[in-house]
Parts: sequence; C-alpha cells; structure tokens
Amino acid sequence: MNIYYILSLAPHAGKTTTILGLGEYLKQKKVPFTYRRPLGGRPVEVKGHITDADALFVSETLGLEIPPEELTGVVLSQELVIEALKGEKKGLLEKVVSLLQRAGEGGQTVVLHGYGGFYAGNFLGLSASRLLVQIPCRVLLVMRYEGLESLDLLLKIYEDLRGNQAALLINALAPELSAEYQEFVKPFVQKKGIKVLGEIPYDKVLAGVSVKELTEVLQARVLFPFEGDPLVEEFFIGGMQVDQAIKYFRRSRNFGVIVGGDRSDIQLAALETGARCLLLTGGLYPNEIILSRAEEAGVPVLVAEGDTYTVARKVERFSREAPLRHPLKVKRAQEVFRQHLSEDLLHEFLGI
Amino acid sequence: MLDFLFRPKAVAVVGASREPGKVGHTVLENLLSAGFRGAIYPVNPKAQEILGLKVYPSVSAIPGEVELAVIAVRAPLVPQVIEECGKKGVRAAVILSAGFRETGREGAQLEREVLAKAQKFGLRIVGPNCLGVLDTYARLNVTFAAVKPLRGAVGFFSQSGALCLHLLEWSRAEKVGLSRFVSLGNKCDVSEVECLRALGEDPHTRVILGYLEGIDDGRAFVEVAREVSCKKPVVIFKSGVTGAGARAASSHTGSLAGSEQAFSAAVKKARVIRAATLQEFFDQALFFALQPPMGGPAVAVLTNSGGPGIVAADAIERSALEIPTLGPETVDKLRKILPPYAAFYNPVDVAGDADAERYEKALQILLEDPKINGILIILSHTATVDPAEVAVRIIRRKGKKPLTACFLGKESVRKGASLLRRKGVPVFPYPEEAVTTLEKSWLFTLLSQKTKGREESPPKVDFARAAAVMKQVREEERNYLYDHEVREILEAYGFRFPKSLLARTTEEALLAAKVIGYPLVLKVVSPEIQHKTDLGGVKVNIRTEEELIKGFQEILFRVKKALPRATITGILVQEMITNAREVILGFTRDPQFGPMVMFGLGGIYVEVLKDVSFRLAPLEFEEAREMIREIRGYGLLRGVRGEEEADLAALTSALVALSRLAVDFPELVEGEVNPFMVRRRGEGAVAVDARLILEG
Repeated sequence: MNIYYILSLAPHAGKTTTILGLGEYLKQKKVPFTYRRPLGGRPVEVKGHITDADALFVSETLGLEIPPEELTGVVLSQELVIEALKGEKKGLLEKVVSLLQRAGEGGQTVVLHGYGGFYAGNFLGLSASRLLVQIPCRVLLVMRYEGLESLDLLLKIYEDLRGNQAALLINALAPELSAEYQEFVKPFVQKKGIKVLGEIPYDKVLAGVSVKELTEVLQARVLFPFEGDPLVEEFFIGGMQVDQAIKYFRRSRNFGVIVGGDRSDIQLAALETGARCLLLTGGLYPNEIILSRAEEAGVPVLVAEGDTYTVARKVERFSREAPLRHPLKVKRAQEVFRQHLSEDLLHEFLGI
Repeated sequence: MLDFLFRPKAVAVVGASREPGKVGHTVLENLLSAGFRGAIYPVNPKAQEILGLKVYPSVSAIPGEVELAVIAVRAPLVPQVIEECGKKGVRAAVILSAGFRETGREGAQLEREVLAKAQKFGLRIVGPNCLGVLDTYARLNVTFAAVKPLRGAVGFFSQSGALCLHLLEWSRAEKVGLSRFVSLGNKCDVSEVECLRALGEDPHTRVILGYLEGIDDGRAFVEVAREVSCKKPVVIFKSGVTGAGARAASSHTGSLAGSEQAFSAAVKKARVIRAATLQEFFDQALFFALQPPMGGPAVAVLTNSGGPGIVAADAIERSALEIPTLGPETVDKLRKILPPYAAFYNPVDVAGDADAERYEKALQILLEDPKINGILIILSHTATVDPAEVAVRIIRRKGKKPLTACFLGKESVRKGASLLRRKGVPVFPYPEEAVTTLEKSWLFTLLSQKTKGREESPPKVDFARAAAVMKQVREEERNYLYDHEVREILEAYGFRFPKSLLARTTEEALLAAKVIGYPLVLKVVSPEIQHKTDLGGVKVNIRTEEELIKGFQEILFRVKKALPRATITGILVQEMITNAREVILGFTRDPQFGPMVMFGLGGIYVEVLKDVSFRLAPLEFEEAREMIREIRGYGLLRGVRGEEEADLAALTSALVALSRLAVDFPELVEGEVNPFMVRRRGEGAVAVDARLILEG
C-alpha cells in the first residue's frame, strides 16, 4: 500500500495545487487511488455529514467518489476546538488512523492532504509527525522558498519525519529568488540528502483571485450581471495621476483596480487598458457613462463599503489565501505540475 | 471628403415638427432660410405639410433619392429610422437627438445599436447628441441653432455644442463669417480626424478651429493635422488638460482626456497652433480669417501714446516675435511727416496730438519698410484724433501685410472698432492679445515652411538582434526582461554600456576590478531595488582595493538596513564614466498618441526641476535636436565657463534610435536610459543604466 502524504512547511504553500497536479498525473498513469484529509479546517455540510470544504473540492475535481463521511477524519469546528482546549476531546488520533486504514484497505493507493503548516493540529495531538509514527507514508513536502529563513524550518521538519521517505517540491518560486535558489540553496539541501522533485515558478494565474469569490468575501455590490468569472491576477490601487496609473496598468495582464467611486478618470483609464474588474470603494457609485463603458467591455464593477485602504487590505489578504477553486486555476495547477517536476524523480518518489 | 454630408443633393428631416421652438421645426426653418437648393423632405407620420413643404410619413415613402438625413426624433426611435435610412440608400445621418451614451448604460446600448445598423448599410453618422452641421457655401444649415450664420472663411469642429452656439454669436458680433462647422456630439462614427480632413480640403475654409475634449485616434489625428496645417492654419483648443479637467471630461464624454504631455507633443508633431484659452482660440480665428499670415517675426508698433506702446513692446519681446529698430530710410521718411517730439524708432509714437492723417502717413511708411512683417496699431482716444476716421484710413491702406489694431477705450472707440471689423481688420481690447495673434500667425508660417529636415542617415539598428531577444522572452512567457536582455536590445540600437561584472563576494569583486580597471562604480543589484542611490546602494569613484572592499561591505550593510528582506543578487562592479554630462532618455506609450520620447538632464534636474521635453516617436533628427534645445538646462550641454560642448550628435542619434525602438516593439510599454553619460564632442556617450518594461 502506498500512502502519499502532501504536507507543507507553512500554510498556503500550495498543497491543493500539488494534489490536483498529482491526482491528474496518477489518473493519466492509470494508477488507481483514493484521497483523504486527516484534518480539515473549513467545515461544510454534505448530506448530513460535516466535512472539509477543500477536501470536498479536491475529491470532486479529481472525480473521486468518496462518501462524505469518509472524506475527512476531523474537521476543526468552533465546538471541537473548545472541547479540545478543555481537554475533553479524546481519541482523535485513533479516529484518523482508523479512517486511513479503511481507505488503504486492499492495498489501495491513498493521497493524504495535510492541513496548514507541518505542525498544525499539534494541540489536538494530530500533527503530521504524530500521524507519521502510526502510519508510514511517503511525504511530499511543499515549500515556498522565501529566503534563507525557510531553510531552518525545512531541516527541522526533516528531523521530525521519523524516517519516512520524503521529497521536496518548491512552489511559487519568485523569479528574483530563482538564481540564488538554484546556485546555492538547491545544492545545499541536496547535500543534506533531501530529494528535490522540482520547482514550480511563481504563477500569476495560480495567485489569481476570482471576481465572484471576491464579491462574496467583500460583500460587494455587483452593478450589473457579468458573464463568466474573470480571474484577476493582481490589483492596483488607483490613487495616482492618470498618466502614472496607465503605466502600471500597461505592465500587467488580467488586473483589477481598486479606486474611489468618484475617480472616473482612473476608472476609464483602467477600462481602456484592459482591466478585468473595477472595485470601487467608499460605497460610491460610478458615473453612468463609466458604467456603460464597463458593461460594453464586459468588465464587472463592484462597489465595496470602506475606504480604499481598508478594501485593498482585505483584497490583499484574500489573494494571499485565496483557495484554488476557479477552473482556470485548476487547469493551470495541473499544467505546472507536469511542466516543472522531474518525471524520473517523481516516479522514484511514488515508487511506480 | 464627406461631401455627401456638407453638400448633399437632398436632405430628409426626420422628426420635422409643426411646432415652432421644437428642434424638428428649427432645423427645417434653418434649412429653408439658408436657401438650400436641393430637395428637402420633412418626415413626420402625423403631419401633411410643414412650412409649406410636403411631409412624408416615413423615409421609405420619400420618392426621390436622399443623401443626408437629419434626425430629431426621440432616442429610442432612432435605430428604426437608421434602418430605414440604410434601406433607402441614405449616405449620412446627423443625429441631433440626445439620450444616448451621455445618459448611461441604456443610452450606450442604444448608441451601439444605431452604429451597428448604420455600419451594416455603410451609412455615416454625425453625433448623436449634437447641434448639427453647417456649410454656408452649400447653403446647408442642419442645426437647431437660433442664430443664423454669416458666410466666411472659418471652419469649425467641436465636441461641445455650446461652443458651436457661441461661435455663431461671436461670428456675427465680430463680423467674421463661417465656411463649415460640425458639432461632433458623442462622435460615435464621424470623428475629429475626418472633419479636419474635410475642412482641410474645403476651398472656402481658410482657418480651421477645433475644440476637443478627448481624441480617439491620436496617431491619425497627428498625421492628418500635419498634412492640413501645411496648407492652412489649424487652431486647436483642448480642454481637460489638468487632473481636475480630465476627471470632468472623463465623466462628461466617457473618453479619456489624455495626458497634457502627450497632447503638447502631438501639437508639435502635427505643427498645429494651440490656443491656451478660449479667448485666444477665437482671437486666432479672427486674425487668420481676416488677415494674411505674418511672413516673418518683425513687428512695428504704431501708437499715439507711450504707455500702451511700451506694453506692446514688452509683449513682443516676451513672444517669438521681434520689434526691430527701423532702418535709416524709414526713420528719415518718418522724420519728414512727424513732429520732432514724436518717437521714430520702434514703437513709432506719432504723439498725443496726432490726427488721422498723421496715422495714415506713418502707417504707409511702415508698410513700405521691407524689414517689417506686420503692424500693430494702437490708438488712445485723445482730443485730436477721431477713431472712426483713423479706422477709415487704416482700411484704405490695408494690403498684403498683416495689420491688427488695439483701440483703447469702450464707447468712444466703438464706431471705429466696428468699422475695422467690418472691413477685415481685427481689433483687440489690449495690446497683449493683439501681439499673441501676430505671434501665432508667425508660428504658423514658420511651421508650415518647415520641411522635412535633410535626410540624415538613420542610426544603425540591428533589429534582428533585438527581435531575437524579444522572441526568446515571448517563448518563455515572461513579462519582464533580464538585465542582460535589456542591454542586448539597447546595444542592438546603438547604445554602448560601460564594462561591468557581477560580484557576489569581495573576492569576486577584486577579480572583476582587475579585469575592468580603476576607477570603478559599485552598485547593488536586486530585483526589489529600483532607486539604488536612495538606499545607499551605489558607491562611485572607487580607486583602490581597500576602497573596493570597504565600499562593497558598506553597500550591503546599508541595503540590509533599509530593506532587510530584499534579495541581493550581487554587486555590480562597473567601469566609471568620467568627464561626461548626465542626461536621461526615456519613452512611454500614451493610450491616444502612442510612443512618446522624453529627454532631460539627469539626476536632480529631472526630479526637482522637471526640466524635460517630450516628442512623439518616431523622431526625425531635427525633432531630437529640438528636444535637446528645448530644456532649460541646454546651456549645460553646450558648455559653460570654458567647458567644451557635449557630444550632441551622439545624443541626437541616441534619441532617434530610442524612438525607433519604441516604434519597433509595441510590447515595450516603457523604457529609460538613465543615466546616459554624454562625453565631449566627438567622444560619444555611454548608457550607464537602463530599463525596459514589457507589456503585461
């Protein structure tokens, strides 16, 4: 039985991206597998069962038919957290172990989806390192390389892997860090005996924000219905002079602009340079003429309460943590996985 | 061009109305009172006869051919009317009706529908939401203006209907007639560019005025304007040039007002005259419509009072005009007719006791002086002078040299001023305004005479080399360029860079120094740092190994302090360029006018003094030279206090080459060579740092 446990050093490192990529790869190689998430953090109810929203999304996207009650071992709900803190919650580890045993029955290959950072869930007795003692897995560690500090944690985690086989995948490697990484960091970790499956460069599509999700998060008003769900790769704040703004807009593809509802000049400049979304702040509605131009161009216009700074902060936070839901992002995740991972090393890691 | 619009054989007025005061009535009335000679077909399903004309229930019911339809029905009915017009074979429609894009989304949708229908039939549209079209020579007046136009030489196109109305009033007040005007309205189809061309081709139009809020196709505008302004003066007034104005324009017209820099660069390229104020705009029309253009910059001022003469002299001195001392022959002639206490030089002061005859004689002498290109006559109403009589005498002497007058006063000079106006001599209330019109007239002559500079061999460009780099970038789906790629592209366009090597340790730096040789410059290289100097990331004039090691470490300490999380790729060890003057070259891409080149002195001059000049790319050599001469710091490049002149030829070539790069690769949205070090004449120039920004 092969269990692949996809973990990361820190939250939002790209575990879902990796799992979608890996799942698609296994399907192509005709390797039957199932999927579980020992611990989930976004409770959602399906057919009377509480499960994890991300896990549900992954299993649906990969077309795996897993009963909702079998999908997740433990879902972090408010209630569970309080009980655990009071010391009233027992037997969680056992629950998870038995879930995984059921999943792997008959030698079935299982892909496990970690939660948060490597040590997340420790207070519940459910961290990855505890689980690894109980169930031997092949660990695929996803890491965003963000400078030398990342290395300390990586080495510590390797000590805590308890002898399980492991490999490293670098995700969202920024171009400015690439040279340093390739020249010094990669050889360094390899010398430490860490296998590196590949590096996925920073990808704007994967970092993109779906306008529909953004609308929900910001509780923004949508001024006219729009088709599809545009993906915004970066947001600009339209606080400057038009000439300056245009310079920034031009440098970007698939951008959105956060701007006061009264700045019709910036709004027009954004529309003319191909903005994907206008996010107007201050609760101010735009001029009718702008609205008609936006509608003509099929560019959604959202109106959010709060000043530009507040809205921009929310957007920034959301785009850092935006879940991978948008179909374009899923497709892209699977593409980059294939493109940037060494197939030989991957096979060696997977043991296939 | 657009003859079917200005000189149609038959006109249909759709929405013709029986009720006086309604748009559909006024248009018909205007068309009749203009004496339109072609067929007029009022269309209204509910009327039989309006203003003595047979009314048709629909466009399709009109028996004859229709070239032009004027539409004054409610906006929602317009698409249907356009469909009918299209089927009927109508060639152009002037849509007066409002209720389109200017009102919001539904209106915009309606406008799109109208345009789509029109395009299906090849029907051209003026408007919607406009005042109409006028051609006084074709006796066509399809406007709903209450004021009737005078026939004359001024052609006008305007994005503002209100200014069209003002023009009509002004034209009557100043006794200056109009040839054609077009109120562009929402300009969903016929644009300022086509109007400009049509007015350029119209033999009756001697001066073209254009009022613009935004330009849709800037490049086409510049091209046509340049062509037309070789033949006749084109005066443009553009609103929305400040931040506040641009915001007002964008919410009024729904189009970008555009940047002031780009527009003024466009004006220079197009060689049109730009009016700074509406006053100047109309003054200029007056002058060009009535007077021959200035053949040169020399102006003589003729006055009967000292003060206003001095004011005029000041204004001339501040302008591009000259106020030359008169030749001995002219002075002798003046001495013979003027009292000894008069001033014989320039300004010529005929003295406070002058009468009309003295004015006339002096004027005649000035007109005969071949050195003088134009004359400004100033009159203060003294006891001895009759302004009306002076006006009569001026009119009598009016000839091939441009004349303008300034009659100071209000009531008492009214008759004289009015006489002058009627007979084609522009009168201004103050000397400064008169001087400005003369100046702009000279500018027109100067610009229209300016032919393409002598063909200079273009700078050597290795397009293929640059294109190969860009191809590579595209293949890798990158939207940024690496430093070495920027360098490679610019080298292909003739730029030279100093020798440099990247070092990551002091040991590597020492090795690099051995290869390059002292003195050196050290610069931090980090993708996150744009302004290296501000962070202490640059050390210049490194002359020894000790200084090199110290400098290297100091840069790293300072940068880490300022930006602890910045990624430092290394330190660039670079040959130091000495004995050179620092300038900055760059380009940006304007949404309306396309690539635009910038030039300025480097460092603080560009940041603090904003001492920069702009031109639209591609540059001709002469334009590049103008850019260099235009900055205030030009003297520094020419050399001060015994310093030798900088290599201006190398600088000119670099500007031309950079402009070519901007045109050749539209995917480069921005570029900058800063600092560009220009050595002494004959020694060339070196690009020390550069960046090119790719489109996203």
